[in-house]
Amino acid sequence: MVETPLLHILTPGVRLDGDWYGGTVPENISVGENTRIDSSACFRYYRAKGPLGLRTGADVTLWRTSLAPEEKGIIEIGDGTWIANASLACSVRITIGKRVFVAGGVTITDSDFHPLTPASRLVDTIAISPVGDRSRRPPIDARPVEIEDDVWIGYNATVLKGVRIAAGAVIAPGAVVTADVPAGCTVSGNPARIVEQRA
Amino acid sequence: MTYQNDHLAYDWFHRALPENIELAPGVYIESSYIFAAFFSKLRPGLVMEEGSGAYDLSSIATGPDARIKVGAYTCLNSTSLIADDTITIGAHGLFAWGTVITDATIPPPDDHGRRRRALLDTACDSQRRLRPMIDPKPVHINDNVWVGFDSVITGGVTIGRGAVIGCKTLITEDIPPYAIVVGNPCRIVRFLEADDDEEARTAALREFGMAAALPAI
Repeated sequence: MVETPLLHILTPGVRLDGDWYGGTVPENISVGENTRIDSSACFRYYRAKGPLGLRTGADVTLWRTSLAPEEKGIIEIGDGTWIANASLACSVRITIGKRVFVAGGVTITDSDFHPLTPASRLVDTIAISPVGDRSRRPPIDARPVEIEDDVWIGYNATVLKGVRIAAGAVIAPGAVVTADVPAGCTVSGNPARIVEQRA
Repeated sequence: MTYQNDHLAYDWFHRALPENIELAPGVYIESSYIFAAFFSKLRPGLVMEEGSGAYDLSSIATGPDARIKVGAYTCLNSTSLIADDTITIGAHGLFAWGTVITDATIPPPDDHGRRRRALLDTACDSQRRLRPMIDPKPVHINDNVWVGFDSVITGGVTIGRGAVIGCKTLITEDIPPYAIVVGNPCRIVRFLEADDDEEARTAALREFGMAAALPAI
């Protein structure tokens, strides 16, 4: 009896062998060597239409992670990074460096999802309603997110738009990161504040 | 079109929708599982207006005397409404995933007696229709309120029109209209310009070819 592997080699444009979800891995991704994923369910909300919506380095591990670039979004993940049970909602660009460790329940987003001003929200709620037209949504503020090498992001933490987390920083569990984090710092809380600065 | 006493054609859950709910035309309900713990005996126990929707893992859990209203074009995206009394949500609301809105209060930590009694009452009901909660206080969320993901809104709170609640924010006190509220503990960071008058709403509806003949907001 052949045992079904828990993690599949991520390959563009194929159905993964023994995948419970039964979807197809998108064509427009670029994958490094020995990058593994648990299921095509990770691409359930993958909407990238450009030449590339996801680029990963080598030896990347993706466990039940929602890879959700919008039409023009691109997610980049560096070598040796491990992501488990996170959501990457991307409308422009999310860049994750090498050897980054992302724990469960983490949300990383480069947009606000909805417009801020009350009048445009009236339009947006109608556009996304069952009787509306999603192609006519008002413009939504988005700024790229950059997470540098060797960052560690704890359980249920949130990284919001426009944030740059410099190399070696640690994000405490549950933190809501709304501003840049300097290299080697530990941040915690909502909104996240520096609690420890390593020399 | 009415969904009363009906099964949703696309539903994975076996149950019919509750009989005592009123869904306007164009309302979307992801699954009857949303109502798995809907025990309201009122008629109607829930009203959802034109173009509103309960998506994904939303849940509407109520006691027997609960009354919930969801206004037109309001989006409940994996949001939990937990009511023993009243939750009123206005039109054009945006509720992100993981948000909990509850009018029921859990007994405070130092009130062991009341909490124990509430838990005992729950245990005596084999279907667990009662939840160990006491002192429900109505929640009123006005029109055009946007609540970020994983936020919690507790009993007795009124949220003013046009307000924005950031993600993972705990709201235990009233929020004034057009305030932007973030953080935990939460604080008001600024106020938005009130540019969403009736004229703006009529224009928005016309843009999508809808008559502005809905109930006044």
